[in-house]
Amino acid sequence: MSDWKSLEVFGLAKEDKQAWLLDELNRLTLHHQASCQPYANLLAGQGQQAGVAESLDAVPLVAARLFKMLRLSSTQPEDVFKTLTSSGTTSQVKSQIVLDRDTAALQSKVLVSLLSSFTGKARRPMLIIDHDGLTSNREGFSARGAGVQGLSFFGRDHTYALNADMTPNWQAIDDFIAKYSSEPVLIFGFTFMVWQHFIQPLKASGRIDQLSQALMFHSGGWKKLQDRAVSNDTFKTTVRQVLGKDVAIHNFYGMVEQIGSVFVECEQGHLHAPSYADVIIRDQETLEVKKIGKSGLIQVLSFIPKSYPGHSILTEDLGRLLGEDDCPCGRKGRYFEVLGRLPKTEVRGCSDVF
Amino acid sequence: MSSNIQLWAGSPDYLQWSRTQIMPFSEKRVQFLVRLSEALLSGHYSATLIALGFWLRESQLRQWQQEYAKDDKVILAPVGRVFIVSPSNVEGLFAYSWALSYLMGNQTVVRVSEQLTDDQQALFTLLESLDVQTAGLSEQAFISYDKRSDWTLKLSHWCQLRMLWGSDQSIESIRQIPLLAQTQEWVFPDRYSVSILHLTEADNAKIPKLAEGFARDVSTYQQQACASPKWVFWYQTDDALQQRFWQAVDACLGDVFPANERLVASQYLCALGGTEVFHDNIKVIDSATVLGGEQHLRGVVGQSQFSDLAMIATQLPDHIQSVAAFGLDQTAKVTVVTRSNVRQFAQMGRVLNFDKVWDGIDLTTILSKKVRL
Repeated sequence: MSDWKSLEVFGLAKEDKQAWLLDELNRLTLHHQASCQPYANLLAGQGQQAGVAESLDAVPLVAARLFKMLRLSSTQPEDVFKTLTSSGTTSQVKSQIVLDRDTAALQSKVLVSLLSSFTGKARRPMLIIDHDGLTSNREGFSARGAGVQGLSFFGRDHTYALNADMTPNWQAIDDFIAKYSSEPVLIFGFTFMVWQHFIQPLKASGRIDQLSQALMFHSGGWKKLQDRAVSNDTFKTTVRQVLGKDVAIHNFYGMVEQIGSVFVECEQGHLHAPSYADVIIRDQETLEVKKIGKSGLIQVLSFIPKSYPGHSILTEDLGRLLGEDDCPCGRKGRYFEVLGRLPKTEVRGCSDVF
Repeated sequence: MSSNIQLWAGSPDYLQWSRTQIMPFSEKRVQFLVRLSEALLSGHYSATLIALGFWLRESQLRQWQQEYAKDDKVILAPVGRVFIVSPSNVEGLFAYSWALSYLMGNQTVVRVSEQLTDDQQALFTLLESLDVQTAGLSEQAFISYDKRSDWTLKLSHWCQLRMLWGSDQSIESIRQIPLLAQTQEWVFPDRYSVSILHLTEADNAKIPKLAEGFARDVSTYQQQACASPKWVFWYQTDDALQQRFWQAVDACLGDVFPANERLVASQYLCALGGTEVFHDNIKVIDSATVLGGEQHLRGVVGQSQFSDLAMIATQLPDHIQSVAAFGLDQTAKVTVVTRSNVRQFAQMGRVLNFDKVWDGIDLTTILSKKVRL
């Protein structure tokens, strides 16, 4: 049994973290080898031994796209609690992530412990920048729905700010403001939706400085905002202009393939690996491990995924490792930034006519 | 919904074209293709378009003309109205089937997808400028339209021959639109291609050349074309020779395939039960049977070992198209052909070179009719 609860969320320095996390990951590799035949094949086919990694970067990794091509599960069919799918906006084929009850519960608990280190213990009134039709269907649970549900644990009086057509639900928003304008509240949404469907309409309608004690978490990719020339700085400045100058804003990085791993942006604007997870940056060409300051593909590690072999995943996102244990914010562990997606080299086959 | 049709080159009034008296290999059409060929070979065009230019060189056109000139028992005549639906990928594919339809004297409408590639753009610009000079495209049209519009229906009823290139899925969806009884149809669906190699010690010196050819076959279109080899069957070939072959292929490839693509492809085939036996610029996965044919993998080749050619033939999937072969004589090829659906053999390094006999079909024959005298 893992003793993760005794860990300070951002308290483990390099040596201690390596000792704790490596042990967990080695155990998971063995567990998935025994429980997931395609994963066992994958290890055997690549000549990799399970459970013997002597450093975090030696833990076998799985390419993130494999979850779109195969159903990789270490869970007996009757124990499947829910299956998560990626939002699939750009690719038509979605990732399938199989969760059992234990893994789902562990993810929630870890998320609570992680995010409450930013929000504090008390549950805050929560404004969700989305519509309420997202979380109803368990079979085809989307990443967006899962994100919203995961974050809901921190809030009370959950209020959905949008209508199904993505227009602001002014009635709901105004009621929320009327009740909580002078209280600490929590706002959560996907980055682009927060910007486009919440902050812009608020600004246009003159609802300024109405939620000045808010703490905002947002996630989900910058591409659409970059297309509109909105940087993280512009985003923060504008959100504070609209909601209130002391609003705390934390971007975070995560993915459906390893949904318990959440890397939250600190006050310095750095994304941090908590004690329960880690990042490794690998060279795009050679997949060799890169040092601090260098950019490459982001590999994510987590002790959570027990129901599917997702404890060590090579993503198709690019990032840069900024440092380890020495962020001015005081948090231990590695910190990094995300630079975007690995550019797709377009190759067309004979088949994709339409 | 008949709107949103785009004409990239040729003439817009295709539904009103009247009957013409143009015959196969008409001098005006040969000359138009020769000018196209010369322009592609002398301008700054991509390798793909230069290959098209080379294929349409005058000596080649004349050679085809000679093949048909000999027969005094038939008159060669056009089919009439031809409708070609083609992927815009594997750039230029549509251009080959169009050129043959044109050469055989047909009125041709070619439908390509709405997103043009740079090569298509360049080719259409060139075709337009040649058309302005020669009016050579007055009965030809290159168009795009929304696939949900009723243009496929209209053109399917307009044409006398419908030719579909594309995935099984697109072909099945177009086939929902029935043809009139008098209309013919030819389809070119998804295909899978492999290599069968038989090397002996005596072939040692040839390995670098063979490997160079194989590297060209996999790197052109990054294995995404139907004819790109995805699996190698070793027929009575020593391990050491195989190893030497892969090392030589590796040396020719450089960083053609992105590392992440190679990783994805290799992990996928391993998860299905394969074993990675070579892992540099291309990954080689050993398995007793073909794996992963349903995915579009890049930077990975499977391999299997056989001492019996008939056994190899039984391993080939139903939609097998090309076999890039070495060391197989005529008898050996017959053994494979009689036991499988193989549609063409090619020399190593030439598997992607288009030929008028493609996928087992003589395109000039189906795009014309032989009128018995």
